[in-house]
Amino acid sequence: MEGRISRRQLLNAVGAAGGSAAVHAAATALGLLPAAARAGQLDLRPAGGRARHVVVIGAGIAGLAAAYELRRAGHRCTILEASHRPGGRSLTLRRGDVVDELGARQVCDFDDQPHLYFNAGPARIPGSHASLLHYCRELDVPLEVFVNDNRNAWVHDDAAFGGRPIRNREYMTDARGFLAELLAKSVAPDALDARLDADDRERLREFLRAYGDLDASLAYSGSERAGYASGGMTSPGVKKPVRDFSELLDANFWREYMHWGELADQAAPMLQPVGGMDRIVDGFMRRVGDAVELRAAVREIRLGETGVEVAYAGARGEVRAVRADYCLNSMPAHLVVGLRHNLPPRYVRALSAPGRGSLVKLAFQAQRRFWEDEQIYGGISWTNQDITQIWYPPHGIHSGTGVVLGAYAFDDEPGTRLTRMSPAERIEAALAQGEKIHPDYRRHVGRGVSVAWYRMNHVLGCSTRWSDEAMRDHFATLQSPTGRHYMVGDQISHHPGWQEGAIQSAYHALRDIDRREREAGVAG
Amino acid sequence: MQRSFYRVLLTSGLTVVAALAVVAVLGAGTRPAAAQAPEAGPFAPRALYGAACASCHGTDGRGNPRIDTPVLAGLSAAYLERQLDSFRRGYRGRHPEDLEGLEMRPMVEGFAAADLAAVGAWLASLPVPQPAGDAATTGAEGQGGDPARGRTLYAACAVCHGRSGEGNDALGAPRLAGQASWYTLRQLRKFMDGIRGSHPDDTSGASMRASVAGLAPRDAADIVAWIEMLPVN
Ligand SMILES: Cc1cc2nc3c(=O)[nH]c(=O)nc-3n(C[C@H](O)[C@H](O)[C@H](O)COP(=O)(O)OP(=O)(O)OC[C@H]3O[C@@H](n4cnc5c(N)ncnc54)[C@H](O)[C@@H]3O)c2cc1C
Repeated sequence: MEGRISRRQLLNAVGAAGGSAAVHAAATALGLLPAAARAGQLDLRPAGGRARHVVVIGAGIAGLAAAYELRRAGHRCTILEASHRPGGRSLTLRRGDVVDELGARQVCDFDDQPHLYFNAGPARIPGSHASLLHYCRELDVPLEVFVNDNRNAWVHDDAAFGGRPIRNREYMTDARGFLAELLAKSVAPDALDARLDADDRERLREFLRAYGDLDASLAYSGSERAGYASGGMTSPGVKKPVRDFSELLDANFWREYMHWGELADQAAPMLQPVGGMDRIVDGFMRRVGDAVELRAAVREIRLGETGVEVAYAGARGEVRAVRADYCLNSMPAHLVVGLRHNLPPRYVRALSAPGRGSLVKLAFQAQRRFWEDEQIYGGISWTNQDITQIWYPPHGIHSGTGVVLGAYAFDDEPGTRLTRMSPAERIEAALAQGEKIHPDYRRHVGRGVSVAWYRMNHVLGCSTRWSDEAMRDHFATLQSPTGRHYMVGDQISHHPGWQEGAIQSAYHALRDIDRREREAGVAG
Repeated sequence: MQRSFYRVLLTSGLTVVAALAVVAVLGAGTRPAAAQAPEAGPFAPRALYGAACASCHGTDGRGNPRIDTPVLAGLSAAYLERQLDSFRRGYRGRHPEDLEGLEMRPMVEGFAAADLAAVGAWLASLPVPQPAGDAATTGAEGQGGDPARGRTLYAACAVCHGRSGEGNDALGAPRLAGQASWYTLRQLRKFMDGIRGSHPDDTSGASMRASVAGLAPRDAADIVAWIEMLPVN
């Protein structure tokens, strides 16, 4: 239409006025660039003559990403990390690694081989976690596909199917078949009149036939989707008998884990760094490791007019202090409460508000990849027992040995029960529960190692549990700075329990510092 | 005498697996091997506290309600040593309902008695921290106790714990003034319910348990409301 400026002309005009960043922003707004490309990167203004000193507490993903960005912009960083190792909750265990769990110190005893590792913290990355993936690219961390959802893995529940596991695909297929038949047979003009005309009703029936694999009479009589009972190659396939729907309901699976792969953050395909999640930590350490002081436990935070002073215990117990223009603090909020500090009461109340989750993971080395004999390549078997899930490694396929995840308790009740056990008791519990799913489990697995995050030194709880009330009353307080002190970490995000949340929280703080510096620069 | 593995780790190389674990955590080079006798060095108790206790108990024993840990600074050396030792020997932290005690017990199991005493003495030398703020920040559970009524009831407690809650080592009674009230209340309840003080070897715990046997839950809340008002000096 005449008089109307084309998109290209507009972008050129914007570019002339505001530089390429403005073009980028405008193009994204016009829907020409995917939003993810924008979300993945942070562009701090170069420090120029206003280089600042920032003390970063904690060398987890949030602290490391923050330090990396600050450095890139030309600022100076000091990273204080209480633990003997960087990475925080990004913990990959290999032969000889120490689990610094309070009251339950362990040493990982796996054989020394590249595929024998256990991601005891984060293990999977969704394609939408753009910042984390941006760093994988930037830090040369190779990725491979991680299998999260596997229809060939098992569903087990003590209360259903005689306590024996059935294939995930069988459960899914029979449940959907039943639902589709139920609905298809009740598609009647009077019930749906208002929403669907006759043509739509017919298409809905076809939809349901396809959805549940119903026959022409709209009956569900089993499906090859559940896997054949026998045959299917050189002789005709014989369908499995249909499970009773009431028995499907007996298993807890439908409540949550049946729909696991539907979650945006859990859907296929997912990714993992080749060789272990801590390859990302290694990548950051190559860039900012010289600024990281390990075994440096912060003991005191003092807010001042023009900066923040942080006192910490060095490796010999001696107390040292750093003064910086800003402090980015990624240590768990519930541990900040135990420091000496002059933080305002409102802020301390907010720090005290979120709860501490009790995730527990346990892994075994398997001397035989027995799951591959069961036609399982990666993915998760689910059970109603405390171990909750068993994960099969998607890497090292057919290599003989492998590390199998023998427990990953999400919920507080099973998590607390496992947390209270000694490492040896946890191993026995995981064996006893695992062998209900894999009868020969005990013969194949050993060298168990476990991590109860509620008791991990310097962490003492994961994930952060924000109740609706705490979120409403306190989140904004912690997301804003107090003086020149910023809380960061996945705990200060709406994505606790995800590395992307940790990075985004750091970006949130860094953008604010950027803004303050720019304003101060203009004023000064 | 058994040497604490923490201490060994601070000073020299080791063989056993558990010890290896701690070397890695504390750093084998924390002190030059064999440079000093293990008992020497002004940092020893403080370094041990930093390595083994500070994450949970907070800076210099100030306690952390979010981790359910009490104030330790300024308690008497004798009381701290006795409690640490009773965890070590399993008088405390064995009852299945003593959840925090169950978390504490394995933390001291690797320690030698002498090291516990040294850490206790160091904590005793620290000033009692001033309460950090309002009820929410100190973790008081908002029991709404009545301090006036508590004051009357407290007269019986004062015989051992002192009129101002200053404690009395001769009687084995710890200081109460300055302790986090959520903690005092929880311990009082544990004594009342026999969760603490019921181990046959825990003589001082047993006498405390006997003293509180007649209290009602409301009495406990009132007493703690009064203790909370006792000044720290
Ligand atoms: C079992 C489990 C499974 C998970 N699964 C996934 C997953 O699949 N994908 C995913 O993306 N994320 C996952 N996560 C979440 C992920 O681990 C976190 O989001 C991320 O690692 C948090 O990084 P952070 O920097 O915010 O905190 P942290 O990594 O906890 O870093 C905080 C740092 O502060 C240090 N610190 C504490 N006290 C002090 C002190 N006094 N002085 C100095 N330093 C101190 C700590 O030692 C630590 O290094 C999982 C977490 C767990 C536990």
